[in-house]
Amino acid sequence: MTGEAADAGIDDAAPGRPRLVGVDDERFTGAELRRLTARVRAHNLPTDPGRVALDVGEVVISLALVALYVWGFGAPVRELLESDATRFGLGPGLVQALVLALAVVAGAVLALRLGPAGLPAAGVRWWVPTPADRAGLVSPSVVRSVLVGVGAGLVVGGVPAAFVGVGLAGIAADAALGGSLGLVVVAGAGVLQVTGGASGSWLGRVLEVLLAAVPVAGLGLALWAPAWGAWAVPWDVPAALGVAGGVALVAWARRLDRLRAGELRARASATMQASAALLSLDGGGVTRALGAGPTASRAFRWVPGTARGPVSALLAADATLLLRSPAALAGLVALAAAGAVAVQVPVLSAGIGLWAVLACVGYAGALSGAGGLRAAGENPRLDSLVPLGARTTRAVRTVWPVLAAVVVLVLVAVVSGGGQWIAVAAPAAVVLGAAAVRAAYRGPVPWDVPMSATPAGAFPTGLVLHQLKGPDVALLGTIPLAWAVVSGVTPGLVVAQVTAAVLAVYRASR
Amino acid sequence: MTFLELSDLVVGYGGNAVCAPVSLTLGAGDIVAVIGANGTGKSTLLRTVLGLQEPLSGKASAFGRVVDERERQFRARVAGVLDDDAFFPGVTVREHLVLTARGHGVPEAGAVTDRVLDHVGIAGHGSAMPHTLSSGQRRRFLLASALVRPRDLLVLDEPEQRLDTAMRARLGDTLRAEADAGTAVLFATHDDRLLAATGASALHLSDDDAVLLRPSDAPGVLAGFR
Repeated sequence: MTGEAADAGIDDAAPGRPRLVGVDDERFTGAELRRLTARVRAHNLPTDPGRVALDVGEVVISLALVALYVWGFGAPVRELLESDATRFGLGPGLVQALVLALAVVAGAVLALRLGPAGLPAAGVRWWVPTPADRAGLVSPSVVRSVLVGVGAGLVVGGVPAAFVGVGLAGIAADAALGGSLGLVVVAGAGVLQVTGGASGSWLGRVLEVLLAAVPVAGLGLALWAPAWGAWAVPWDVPAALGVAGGVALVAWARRLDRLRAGELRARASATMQASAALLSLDGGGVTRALGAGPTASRAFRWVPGTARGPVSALLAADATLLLRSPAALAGLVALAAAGAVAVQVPVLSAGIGLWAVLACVGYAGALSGAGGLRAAGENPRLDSLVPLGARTTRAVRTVWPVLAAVVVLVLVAVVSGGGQWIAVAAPAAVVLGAAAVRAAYRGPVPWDVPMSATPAGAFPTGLVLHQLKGPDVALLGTIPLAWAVVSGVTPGLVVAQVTAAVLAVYRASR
Repeated sequence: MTFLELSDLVVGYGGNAVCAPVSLTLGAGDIVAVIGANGTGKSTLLRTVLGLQEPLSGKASAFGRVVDERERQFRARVAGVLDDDAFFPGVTVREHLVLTARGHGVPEAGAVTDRVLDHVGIAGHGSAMPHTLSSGQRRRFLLASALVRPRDLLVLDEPEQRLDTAMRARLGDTLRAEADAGTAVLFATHDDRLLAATGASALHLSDDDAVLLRPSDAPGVLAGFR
């Protein structure tokens, strides 16, 4: 190579045409590449300092408002929990433990699905194929994940402790427990990410099932274990967890260069999907982005074979989807358990409170059984593949959500000893299934609907109307159930509920 | 020296192979097109060669070492363009390419980028934001990302997609020149004219076998898919 050509990065000794060569001293590190990109962006999109100050101000005010809300809710929640501790076993200590357990498992699901080390899709496309070190590229995401994990842990450990009144030292210890658990979860997920242990979906599926198992465990403890008083963990525990988390963090940080491009690409894709769904307020999209979804296994492959016509083909397809979604099945059990736990609380054990629990868990159960509907709602061509009218197709697709709602409501009834309202709850489940159908087919948010001016500011009419499709049918269609749990079951109310079910199916299939 | 060696390589997803085992050796100046009907594993094979996917069995080696895109030397010598376009918001076409060149330690990255932009016919769009480009221009831009950086092995997945006739002809010349300059080139294509223009041998993938065809036979086989 001649000196002049080498200066220009060209190897003119190669045959054919000059070839580019890289010079080691000229290569950027990951951090340099990242910073240069940020500088270029900042140059092209200058930031207005006033705008930044406004944004920071908004965040500070929002956080202050949240803190005040939490503080305001503290006293009544504490009173409620103390009353439960003596009568039902859903003591404050159990609530503390359940909140922490749910947060830990949910945090692990999120950490495994979205990171914890990651890059934006553009970073994966433009930075990752360069020889720049990956540790330098992903280090901001590592710091961010650790801060979020520890911060969230401090909140879910400390806030319930503050509610149940364990004293300042106890609140600090419980917050430290949450923070150290957050560190362990994030760093542990990071180690799995760099060693390839998280690449298979099995761990995600196990965690999703564990997430569903927490309310079930809570139900068992609430019904059969002695009441738990409020607790503050000894300082040794967060200290030990903190050390373990620190060791995992060091092991993770040392292996960041071993992150695979495929892994980063998958995480970037999931993050983009989840962000887009969040921005468009698409709850189903968020679930799909964060969940493991149906397995790619061939389990239950005999189910599609049972189809003998378009109706049974639709039923078999939706059933296969449901049976291959362990998280959805576990979710049904968890919803039933959560409902059974909720009705232990006096204000939710009768009257309108009980109706609210039944309607909520029943509707959520119906949504769990509506995976096939959501797929069809997003891609109308799926339904056009079946030689059935649109109304018939939607009516047939009500079957699995209805059965899912029935399962949840019956389980709640059996566990909580509320069998007297089953005669009304069964047709109410049909209403909830129809509501799930309506929600699945509601389509995209009509952003073109003008905002309404109110004294409190602009009101997003289109968004609210869109989000109400589904819950509106669930709410109005279960009024006979509400009446029944308030004043007792009568034949007239059963007839009214059956009529409401027929009307709901008619409305949902339009 | 052998740049790329595939030995009984089986690629696929979830334990399911998408094509027959592949054996192939590429050295400096070799150019091979991967052809086959839709779904015969062309893209999956290229992803595996680029280290973005683990092989189900067999072995893929580049420059005498098992393919591992986590190795800096591998990334420094292997350039790949798949059908993935994601861009940094607020960063122009030219800036994306300069960043790539700088990341690879190319001195005078700006001048190199300008030459490549001119070569792929989007010199007038260097200061545009990528999302404002047409799909064909975006394809040229992605091809440019492989040309502004050093490479000993160039892997392209259907590079002719969305390109106009003139640019397809230039692409053929470009790939031929790459091979003449000593780069090993592996690309998937459905375009028999591109195949003929490059004079590439063809690796024909199917469910049953993977056969290396001579350059003279390859375009005829590819034309048979139409």
